[in-house]
Amino acid sequence: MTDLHGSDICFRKFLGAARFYDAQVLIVGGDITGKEIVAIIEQTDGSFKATIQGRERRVSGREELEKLEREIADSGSYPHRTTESGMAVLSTDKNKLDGLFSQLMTERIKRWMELAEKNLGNSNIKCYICPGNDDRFEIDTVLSASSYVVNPDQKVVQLDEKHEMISLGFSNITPWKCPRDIPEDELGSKIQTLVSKLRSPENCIFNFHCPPLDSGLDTAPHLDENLRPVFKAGEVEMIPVGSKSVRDAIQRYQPLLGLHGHIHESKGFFKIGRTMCLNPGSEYSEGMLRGALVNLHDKGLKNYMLTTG
Amino acid sequence: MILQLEIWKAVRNCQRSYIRNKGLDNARKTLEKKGIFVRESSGLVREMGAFEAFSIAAGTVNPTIWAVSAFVGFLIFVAPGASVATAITFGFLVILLSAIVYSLFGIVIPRTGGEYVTVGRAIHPAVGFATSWVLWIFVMLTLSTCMTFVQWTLCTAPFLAMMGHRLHDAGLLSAAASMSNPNVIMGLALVWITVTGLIVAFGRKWVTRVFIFLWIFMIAGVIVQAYLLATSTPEMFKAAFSQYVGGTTSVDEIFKIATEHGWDPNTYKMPEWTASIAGIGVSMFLFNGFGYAIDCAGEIKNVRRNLPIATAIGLIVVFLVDLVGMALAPMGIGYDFLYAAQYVQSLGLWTLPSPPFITYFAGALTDNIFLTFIMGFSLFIANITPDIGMWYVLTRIMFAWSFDRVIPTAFADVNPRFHTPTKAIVATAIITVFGSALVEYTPYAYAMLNTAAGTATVWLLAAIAAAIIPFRLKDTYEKSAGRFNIGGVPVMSVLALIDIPLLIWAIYTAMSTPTIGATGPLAVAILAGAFLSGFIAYYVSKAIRKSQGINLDLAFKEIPPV
Repeated sequence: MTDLHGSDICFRKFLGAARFYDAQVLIVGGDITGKEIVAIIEQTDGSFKATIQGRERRVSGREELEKLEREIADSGSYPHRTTESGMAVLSTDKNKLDGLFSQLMTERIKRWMELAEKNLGNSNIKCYICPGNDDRFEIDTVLSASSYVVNPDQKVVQLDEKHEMISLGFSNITPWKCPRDIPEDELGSKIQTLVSKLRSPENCIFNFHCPPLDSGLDTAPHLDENLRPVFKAGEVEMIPVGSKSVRDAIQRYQPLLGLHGHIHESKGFFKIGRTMCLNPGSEYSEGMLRGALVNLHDKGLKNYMLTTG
Repeated sequence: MILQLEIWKAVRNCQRSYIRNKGLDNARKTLEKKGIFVRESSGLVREMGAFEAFSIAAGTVNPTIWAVSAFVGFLIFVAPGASVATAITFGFLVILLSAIVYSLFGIVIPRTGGEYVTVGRAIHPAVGFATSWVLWIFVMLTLSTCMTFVQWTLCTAPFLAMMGHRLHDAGLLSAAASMSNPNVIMGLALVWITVTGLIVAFGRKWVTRVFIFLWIFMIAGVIVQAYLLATSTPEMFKAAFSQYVGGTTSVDEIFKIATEHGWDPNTYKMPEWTASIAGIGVSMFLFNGFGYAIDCAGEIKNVRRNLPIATAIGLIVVFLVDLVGMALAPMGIGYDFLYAAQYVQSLGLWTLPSPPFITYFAGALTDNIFLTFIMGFSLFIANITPDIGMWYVLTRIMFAWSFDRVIPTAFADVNPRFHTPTKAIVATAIITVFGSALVEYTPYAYAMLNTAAGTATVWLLAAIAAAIIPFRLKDTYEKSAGRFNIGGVPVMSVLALIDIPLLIWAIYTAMSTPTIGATGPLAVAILAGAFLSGFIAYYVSKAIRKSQGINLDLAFKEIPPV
């Protein structure tokens, strides 16, 4: 799975997926933190007000409030109880807002790690959770501190006797200059460093958050300078935004499998030479967990399937 | 010089960066006012403008001269006595309801993959597949009919005949008459399938260029025709018609043939309201294509949120243009004459080189060759945009099946140069050639298939899925931007429940009106058989995939969270 973007329910489904699909290995390909804080503003009458998906909601009482917070968390956002004056501070003090984001992100990742340890810690199921380009570096410490979950970013891990996996959460530069956006040459250099550590690239899985350029797995809306989707002939214009470095590496080293995410709209599969590349897409804000079921055997890739669950 | 260029590039990049940062800041400030704070992450885009939302909705349901030209005659013939304006309005309201249900549905579940995904998730993957299978078959047959009969007999013959009459050119009139010859039509169909298939294969840029060119002419044709009809009366038309057709017939002659074969101008009409309601079965299909528009919205969230309003506005514009164009026809040419002409044609006694279409008749109302050309050419090209829309529907459905491994994954292969699914396009082209031959050379297509009923049945299943989704996929519905409840009751379900009986009635009308398509027990059995074959195909595929270690049921099965 990939691009959970903080969705609580998606992460809980991710943990449930192990037994549901009878999987031996679980992999999250990046972008695990949420994008927004939703202020739940206390009103003078003791009720609370919040705007979710463009609609204003009002709740009162502890039960309703907690339900609202769960709903916000399930959509990937971070609920934050505050007052009107507190909200004004967040609007003007960027450092305070920044600090709040870091705090809420790490709290949620920590809770997720505890949940994973509780549910799967005693099983033989391996769990790899890699950060993506949207994720701040603060969460790396939390991921690495887990006794069960492995953060495979920029490492070589052994999935089984035959198959290694290298992971990279960085991506090429996006219009939003995300925390782990880097130029193509730097991305290529990081890939090269990882590949040089492999025993047999042809049996390896490239778990690269950014999909290869022009693969159909990287097709995103074309945005103008004002970040508005560009329309042509009554349709949103879609363009490839993937990484050339990732594509070159796959073309050159021909690993067994490419696992990618990053572009939520581009669910699909694409073969580069002998390498099957998969992007399950993402529907995290609707609480739907998109994934890819992959079966490997000694001879290589046995079968695969894209799921929505 | 090079230094100047580099400086210019740097300045331009700064400008772009400034605009982008300004755009980001503006977007953030808008959200902060609502208590939503965003950070530096991907996906923050500006809200789509109203015009863009409208262009998606109106982009595939075009107010074409084809609709204005052909449907009036069908409507009056199927429901004599119907007020054209009333019947179209009723049909529009029925479709508007379906379109709003569809677009609300599309917000809850992204429509990339169409009914296969939406109905599959709501009900069962096998039902979703069977629904999309039937849609694929009927859209393919509709495309086959459009490649043959519609494009050449209904769109090209009038154009050639109009120009032939104006230029007094026997060659053009003869060419128009040849557009009823199956061999001529099949040969031209092969060319047309190749041309439209290549447009789709070359990708979006080519489609965009073609669309813009076509729209300009189509709108011009509608305007010219509307002007001529608005400034005409049945008496003026009668006076001009005989000379227009070179004296080969006249309005009185056509009336005479009709009455000699059983038509009574005094008693043929039903009461107006009865007829207008009966005409809904024809008029609602004027607005077919709204589903394609919603498919185009894909998974862009801000697009989806605006889509119900944009769809409604787009359909309203199409409705108004069609209403004006079609209501003018009886006023300018004559209601009785339009019926009599259709009646004579239904008896096989129509001798003119073009079917009795409004555009063909409107050609009599002007001596201006340029205006005649605009109207005729507009009709000639009117079929192309819905054809291309159907190509996309067919290839997208195959894409979705292929992604979920129901059919071989080769159909999802994308050509690296053109970024289009060339294998799916070629497969569609080959099947369409066979479909075209079936339409042109055998009676089976018309005798056994009712594409209007098939399409309406697909809409019906989608409406049923929309009605139950808020209960069956409660979590998904509750978390979606499409959650609109009144008094705790999902609006989508209420609208769908109102839509369902209307669609059942539309299916009944389509199945009992010979002009719309095949009727009778055989046609019903064929439609049921089409669904059954879809179920069989799904379970055969499932068995094959199971032997390969793939469980197709897992494609949409919701995972229980811990």
